[in-house]
Amino acid sequence: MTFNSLQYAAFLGLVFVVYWRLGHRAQNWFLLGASYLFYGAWDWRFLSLIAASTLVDYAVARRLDATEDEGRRKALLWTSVVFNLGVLGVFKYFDFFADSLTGLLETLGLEVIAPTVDIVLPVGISFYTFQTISYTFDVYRRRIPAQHDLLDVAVYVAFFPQLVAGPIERATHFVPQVNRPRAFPTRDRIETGLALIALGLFKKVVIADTLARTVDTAFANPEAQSSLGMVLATYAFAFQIYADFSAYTDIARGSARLLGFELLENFAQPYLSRNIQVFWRTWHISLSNWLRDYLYVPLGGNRASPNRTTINLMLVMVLGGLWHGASWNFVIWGGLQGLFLGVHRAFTRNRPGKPEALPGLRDLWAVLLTFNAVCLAWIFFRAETLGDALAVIQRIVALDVGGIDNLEWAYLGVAALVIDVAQRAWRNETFFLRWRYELQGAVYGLIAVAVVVHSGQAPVDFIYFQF
Amino acid sequence: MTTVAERRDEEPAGGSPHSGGVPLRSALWRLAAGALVVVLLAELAARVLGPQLPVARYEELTAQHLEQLAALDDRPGTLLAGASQIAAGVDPEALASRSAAVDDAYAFWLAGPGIGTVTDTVRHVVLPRYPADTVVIGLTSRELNASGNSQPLLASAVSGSQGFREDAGELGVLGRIDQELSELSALVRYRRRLTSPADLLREPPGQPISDRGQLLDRLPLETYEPNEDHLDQERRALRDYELDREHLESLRSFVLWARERGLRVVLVDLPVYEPEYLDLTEGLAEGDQAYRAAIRELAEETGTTLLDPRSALSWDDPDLWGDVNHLNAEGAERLTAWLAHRLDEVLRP
Repeated sequence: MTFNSLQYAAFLGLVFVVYWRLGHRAQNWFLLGASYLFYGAWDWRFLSLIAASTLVDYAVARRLDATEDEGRRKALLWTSVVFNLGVLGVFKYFDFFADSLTGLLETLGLEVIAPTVDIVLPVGISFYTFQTISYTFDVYRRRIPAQHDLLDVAVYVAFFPQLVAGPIERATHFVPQVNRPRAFPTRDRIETGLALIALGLFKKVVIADTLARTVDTAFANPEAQSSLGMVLATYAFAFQIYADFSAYTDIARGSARLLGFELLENFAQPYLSRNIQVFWRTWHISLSNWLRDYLYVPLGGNRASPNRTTINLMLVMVLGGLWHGASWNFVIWGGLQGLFLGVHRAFTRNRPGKPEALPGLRDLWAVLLTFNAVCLAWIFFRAETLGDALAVIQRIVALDVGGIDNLEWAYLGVAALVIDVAQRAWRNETFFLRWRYELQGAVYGLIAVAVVVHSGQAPVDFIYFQF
Repeated sequence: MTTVAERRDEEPAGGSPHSGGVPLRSALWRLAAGALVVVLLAELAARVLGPQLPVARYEELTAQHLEQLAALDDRPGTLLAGASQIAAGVDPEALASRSAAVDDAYAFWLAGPGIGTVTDTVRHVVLPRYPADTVVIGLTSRELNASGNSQPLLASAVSGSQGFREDAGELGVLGRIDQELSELSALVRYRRRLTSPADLLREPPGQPISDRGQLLDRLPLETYEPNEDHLDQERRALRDYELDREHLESLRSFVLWARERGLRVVLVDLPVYEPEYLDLTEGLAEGDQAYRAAIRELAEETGTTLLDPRSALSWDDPDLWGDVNHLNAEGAERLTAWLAHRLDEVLRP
């Protein structure tokens, strides 16, 4: 049941109608049931994993609160981390490391084949395991008390709008919303919730899925592209992944808002960033904040020596890349991001600027430089193998002035940028709600027409479902 | 220091500044009015522009294929399908004139997809429209390659198209509603064309290659000259060659289905320019052997005739080839003559 389906519309509508007829505790039970049903529609076999992760971290958190002994508390924290990362490791990384080890041993002349498990990756596992780890971490740091009610923890872990592809919620932000009774959303909240869902549908169906065709064709056969064609295809992928992922977040946040919840913002017009540091404060914000708070800061963060800080940064970004997928391509992608951040730190005296301001004309060169650096890294993110990524780069640097047949899709990238600029300029993600109702209606009409016209193409899965 | 997200969460939720003053019913009416104006204008634009736009390649199972099929004779004939050499290399008219067993022949070719997609399309789209009594399917190892990264795209483009799904009975409730809506709304009817509005500003995209003549127009008729771009393309397509069991199963399923309906099926293990082809990628030689063993096994299991021009004749002469896996006119003529002779032997009682 993907967000851009009639089934989800029917599901959300039914949940909305029933949910608001229930009392607080019944609402939480109903949400849990709906969330497990939602996830079970993907793959019921892995519901037990979510339940197990919930139970382990609920128990660990209760014991953390019950003891003052620092040694025991650390041991409990590590229990949660090892369990959750262990689950992630088995399902996501075991075969990657086994194959890599086999390759390394072959290089050394040893014919040893490490065993693999060849197991299906449960949808959303990277997201909910990080979410549960953050819960036990925050209890350990005493930022939030351990929840006595298992139901509240279970809803926090499994809340369906964000279960499969984030945002990675913090317990400090979300659990209090589960704890307290929720008022029926105001008219403004309903309007903005529906507007977010409409924007998300537009970005997914019209922009992301249409760009996917030109991107898939080009990346499947870069030799058939001219250099400029391959550059445009890379730009197209940049807008595809942004539209795809931000669409998911928009629909998740809009759905949650209709149910009285506020989810964390995950994107803040990242391609308008003046530098790479701002980019990482505006792209997949929930993940970058998670890595900052639970990995970078414990490693020393900015307080370490400059060399140590650079190493920490590189390590965090490489692990961030690995979080996306069990492939050396993602490691390289993360490494490049770490390199860009390191270079930025070395040469700019850590002046990130105000990310929420609309960049002016004099910032255009910086915005373009940042965008192109990010796109260079996207090549490794999108390509299936290192060889494919190098083939794309080879094609680009060949400077072969040939024909291009994918320029027509540039208007979709422009559409994504226009939305971003408008959101930044008005400092409001649902900026068109400031307009007269007739114009709002026209926007909805335009979205509906665009979605109908583009819905005839074969549907494309949300990119972040594979993580 | 707070992040952008944390600052945003503190801001009041956006919303229409008019929402406080405008009654809900009035707001809804005004929303609906604005939306309706846009939808009507879009519908009008679709009615005017839609018929002017060309059919996008592979977005619908090509109108050209369907037009060709509609123009064919009603008499039973031989359907040629599969790899380029059989479906666009063998001359159907020459085949029919040389072979006593073939009265009429039609070559159906989709550029690129694996053999499973080809047989699915033959089953659901071609055979309901062309009264074949014999189906000749030609293959090389390329048509049973699981690692090819362009074939899945082509397969999904074909099998995801409305036309294919309609013929395959896969539309379902939503698909049938969509069909009904397309009768009423130009937006729905022409939507695949409307996603490419830039086509209005340029020449219509080239038609997909669907006949032998068009393919041969692209190939050199002189001595084979290695074309590095094409070789690179084939190297990428055949890298890490792995026999596609799913497509093999589709082929098996098609063979059994066709025979149940009284069709004669002949498989052809087509030649390739082996001096270059087998060296394209590491492991391709072994993969090619695995493919040849697999189709022999399939033919034996299903009791299907397998013709092997690749073993029967030598194809190592570069003068027969346009590129590493496409025959030129001379090579196609040689294959046609051989195939006509062999079909006479296997098809005539």
